[in-house]
Amino acid sequence: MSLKKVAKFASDEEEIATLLDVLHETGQRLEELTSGEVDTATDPEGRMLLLRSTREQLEQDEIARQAAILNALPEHIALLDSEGTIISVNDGWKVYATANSLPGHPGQWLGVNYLTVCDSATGPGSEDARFAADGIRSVLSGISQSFSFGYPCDSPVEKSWYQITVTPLSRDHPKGVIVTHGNISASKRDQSELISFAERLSLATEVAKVGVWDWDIATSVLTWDETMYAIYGFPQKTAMSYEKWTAAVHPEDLPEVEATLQRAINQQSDESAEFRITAADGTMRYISSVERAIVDQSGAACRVIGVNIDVTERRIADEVLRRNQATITHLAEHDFLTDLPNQRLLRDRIEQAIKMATRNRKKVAILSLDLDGFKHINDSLGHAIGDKLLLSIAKRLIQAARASDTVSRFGGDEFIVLLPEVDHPVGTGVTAARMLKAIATIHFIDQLELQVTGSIGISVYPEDGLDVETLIKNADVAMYAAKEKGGSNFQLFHSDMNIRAIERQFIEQDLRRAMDRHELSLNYQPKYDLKTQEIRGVEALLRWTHPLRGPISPATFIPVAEDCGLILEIGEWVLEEACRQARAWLDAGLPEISVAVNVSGRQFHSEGFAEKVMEILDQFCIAPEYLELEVTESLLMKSPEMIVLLLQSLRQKGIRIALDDFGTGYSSLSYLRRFPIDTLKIDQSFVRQIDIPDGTSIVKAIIHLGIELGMQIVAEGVETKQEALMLESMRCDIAQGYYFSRPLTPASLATLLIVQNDPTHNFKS
Amino acid sequence: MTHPDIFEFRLYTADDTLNSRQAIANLRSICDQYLAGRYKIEFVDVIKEPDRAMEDRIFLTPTLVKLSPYPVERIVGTLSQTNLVLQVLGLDELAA
Repeated sequence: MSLKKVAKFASDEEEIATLLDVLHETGQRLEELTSGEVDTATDPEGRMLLLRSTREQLEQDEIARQAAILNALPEHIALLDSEGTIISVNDGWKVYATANSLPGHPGQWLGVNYLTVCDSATGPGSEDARFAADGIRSVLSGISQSFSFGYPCDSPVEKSWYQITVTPLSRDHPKGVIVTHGNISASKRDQSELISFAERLSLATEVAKVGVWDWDIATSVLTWDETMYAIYGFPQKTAMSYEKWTAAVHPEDLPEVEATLQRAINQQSDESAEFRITAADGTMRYISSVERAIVDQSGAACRVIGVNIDVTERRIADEVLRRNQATITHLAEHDFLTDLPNQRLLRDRIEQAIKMATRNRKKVAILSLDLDGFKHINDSLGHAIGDKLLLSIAKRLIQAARASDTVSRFGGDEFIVLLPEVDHPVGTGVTAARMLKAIATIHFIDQLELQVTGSIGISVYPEDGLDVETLIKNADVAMYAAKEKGGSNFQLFHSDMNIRAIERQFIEQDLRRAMDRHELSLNYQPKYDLKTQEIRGVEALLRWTHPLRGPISPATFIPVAEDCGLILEIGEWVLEEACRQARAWLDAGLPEISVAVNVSGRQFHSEGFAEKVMEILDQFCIAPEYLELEVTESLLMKSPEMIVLLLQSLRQKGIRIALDDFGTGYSSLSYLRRFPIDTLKIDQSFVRQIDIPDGTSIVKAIIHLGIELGMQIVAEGVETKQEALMLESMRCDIAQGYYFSRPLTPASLATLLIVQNDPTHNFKS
Repeated sequence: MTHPDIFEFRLYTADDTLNSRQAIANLRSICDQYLAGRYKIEFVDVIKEPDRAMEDRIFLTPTLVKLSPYPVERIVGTLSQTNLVLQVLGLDELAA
């Protein structure tokens, strides 16, 4: 240090001392002058003077403030001197010390050497106490800048954790230390709970193969857990970003996935998505994702956190299941043979079509198609061929239908076609005609050329029915009407058909029971010789007396019996009954008379018909000459060659053949010549017109023709004397009708025959 | 009687010192009692704004300056003598 500096120092010191004196004095005087009401004074140079009392007051305030701060802390704080003696404590320490008073040192532990207390500790916490003492020493000696450690401090009531922190009073020259004990139980508990929760969560996600991701929207950084890397097949801990992730997502699925994320962000809702990814190994995997946006303090989404689950296996299993399900559903809704929709599916479709049509104010048409004579093909060629034919027809129908139409197999040889959205019922006829033409074209099946025709009935919603069942039923009714018309045509349903169809159904049902219940019977209408007025024979007429409805006309039930095949059974019964009756009359001693029985086409065509007839005649010992079979013109026309042979064979046996209702059918005179016919029966419609000029001529001509061909002539339905006389004048042999007699019961007829045999009885009087 | 004038005061204090604290409390009390609804007070801490104190020629704290109504008046001290204060402020008739 130089002399100059010393001198300068001395003068500075003097100046400061003088200044302080002045200041002191000025301050004193100022305080006196202002009665202590002034805090500061400023000289003209701007130097401010804090007056002494003010200074002391401010210092006291500061000390009080600091003490308050220290006392407000929950930590127990003590100031130790360089020896380790406690020289000052805060309120926290006082509370602690009072609760844990040391023997011989009640109260605040002031003046107690803390190091000695720790060193001499015994019991469970003694090791920790000695460790703390060592720590304090190391800070006191300047070896350590600070010391801190946590220790458990269990009271009987609860388990708690404390942390001791030792800080030097002065950094350079440790003159003492501050010892702080803080209760860290709560944070310790939170921490351990957090760790165990995180461990559990991590274990759970790992076991469940749930990948967890966290997307920082601002930086586009993606944080993945190990499972995420495993799912995507990326090396663990590869830096991930949103862009890297989107590159792995299937391009087709990406827009939807990103939209889901945007929704999660914008609406702050939980969102989920399923998408495909291409994993690092190139395989495609299905991922199920669920995510939630995390919002910052301003309420804006700053992150999205979510999970990914690899659902590939499940998707594959689902797909297999779905395919199986689809197959089962398909089988349940389609016909096994043709693979066309079955009844069930058709009904569904019709229902839908009805709903649509109601909305669009359109119509729906149901076409019921039944093949004509398919049973015959099945019976003669076998089911295998029949099935192939059905398949071929199904194909033709599909070709003939529009894409929107439903062609279904309704069972057997019946198909139903649904035409949705029809504008006008008439248009359906065009479709029906096209379909009839399509199926009628020759089918080539197993080197066979098969031809089959169909009959179509059409019902239209809403005119012909409002529900599925009614529409199908009415289409069926119309289809039967088409069949009645000879097949190979279509018919639009109208309500008359319905009544007929119901009637028909009723008749068919009850007719089957009628025979068993003996509701059928025969009446006999006598045929008179116009010259001799004698009974030459009788025509057996079938009667059905229904238990509830009374007599039912043969014109009503015979066509039904023909259709449903019952006619064979009924016909045989009629033959048998007529012969049995004839035998009964003979046995009763009545004269032999000819019995005429009507024979239907079906009967005639049935196998062994002639043999059957002979069998019955034999059974009742009736001479064939007394049996006359009445056949119709239409029957002769169907397969003339075969009929000629059959008639000839019957005739050779002696049975007589009568042609019924002559003139009403397709009267082909050339055929008439070829058939072996014994009797020609003039239809009653001609007899009705016998008194008008043209009628007279026709009847005359028929009679003439019959005579020319060597036939016996019988006039039917003669009701007046006039008619009888005219017929006789025209050389007609025989007549029947109400003028002579109604059809009679066997008993009445017997009476009549007895009367006739009495020569004294004048019948005509 | 009416006092349509608004009283504008400026009180110079020094930090959180005892006399300054008292001056603030006394001024508020006087204003609330006698000048309710028609006064404004601006506080100037000379420790924080020494230059302003110099500019305004304030050498002692606490010092109250009445800026309006005219004339401008200054009072040094804790303002504990209410009558004296009212007198200086020209509110004699309100004095007890």
